[in-house]
Amino acid sequence: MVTMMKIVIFLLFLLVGQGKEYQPSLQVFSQNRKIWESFVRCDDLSSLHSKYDCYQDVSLELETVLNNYHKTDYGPSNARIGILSFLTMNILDYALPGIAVNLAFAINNNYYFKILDEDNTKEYAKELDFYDFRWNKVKIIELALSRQKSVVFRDWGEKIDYIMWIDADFIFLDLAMKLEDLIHQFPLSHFLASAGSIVLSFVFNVI
Amino acid sequence: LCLASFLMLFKISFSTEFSGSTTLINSGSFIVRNSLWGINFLRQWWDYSNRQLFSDQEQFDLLYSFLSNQEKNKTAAGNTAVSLKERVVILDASRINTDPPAMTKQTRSNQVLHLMVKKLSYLFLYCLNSF
Repeated sequence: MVTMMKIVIFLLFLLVGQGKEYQPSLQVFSQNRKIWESFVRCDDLSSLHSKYDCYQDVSLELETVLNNYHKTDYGPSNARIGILSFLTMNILDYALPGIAVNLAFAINNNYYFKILDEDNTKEYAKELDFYDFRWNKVKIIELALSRQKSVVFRDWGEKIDYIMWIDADFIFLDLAMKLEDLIHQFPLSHFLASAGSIVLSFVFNVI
Repeated sequence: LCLASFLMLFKISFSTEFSGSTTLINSGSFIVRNSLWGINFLRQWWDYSNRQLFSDQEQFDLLYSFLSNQEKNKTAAGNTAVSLKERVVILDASRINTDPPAMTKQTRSNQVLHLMVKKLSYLFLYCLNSF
């Protein structure tokens, strides 16, 4: 399984590396050099859970850096964007490679990044809907944007301009993709999502 | 268990094949602005109908339809504020999500990938691997 994960990560980076639009900014890389070093060290850990905990620590480190960054360089052109996701521990094996890539995307673009799970959302246990986990994204974002300070969201309600929700099986392929560009295309928007599509027969692919 | 999952997969394939329906958005990824309107919209989405009867995407459709009708009535009465389409932007299926199935529709220009893993299919693959 670990070998498979490494292959998936390698293929994803290969795919990103060959994209025409991918031009990593050296300035951004040097600004966040310490975070990149912490991020890379996570890969040396052996167990899935220790890697996951390591990525959580890196996301907190990133948050501290961004808090200082936005104090000096905040303006209309660099909106404060947070990326949020939720996973249950039973899917950690296939979600972890995606978490690694998405965290790299957040570091590269100076976005806040937070992964929620059953453990760090305990304070909201009464408010969430455990009948259907898919529903909780709606409540979680509302809670994140509320002005009340919380253990998990800290002061996101005060310092974040936009939150992007991503499911646990969602991966950014283009590490240079700028969410600000999309947001600025629709200055009056408060909610943006891609259209749904007709679901094709999935079972034939499986068989 | 494996036989049951196999049969359930077929059942699902038939139901999706003949329904041909779609929801307005794929909620696997979306962006919300930290604004009063944005937060109220989330509250309405959560509370609008019945979370045990409808999926989040289905309830989004119901709410969108309700707000759209509400807007038509307001426009008829002469109130021309920012339109719902400007506040709630529905992008191309592959702009910040994946147009399913990724296996056949994903292209090199797509910037994101949403695998949309189905629990039953995952179980079925697990069964196949166990033999």
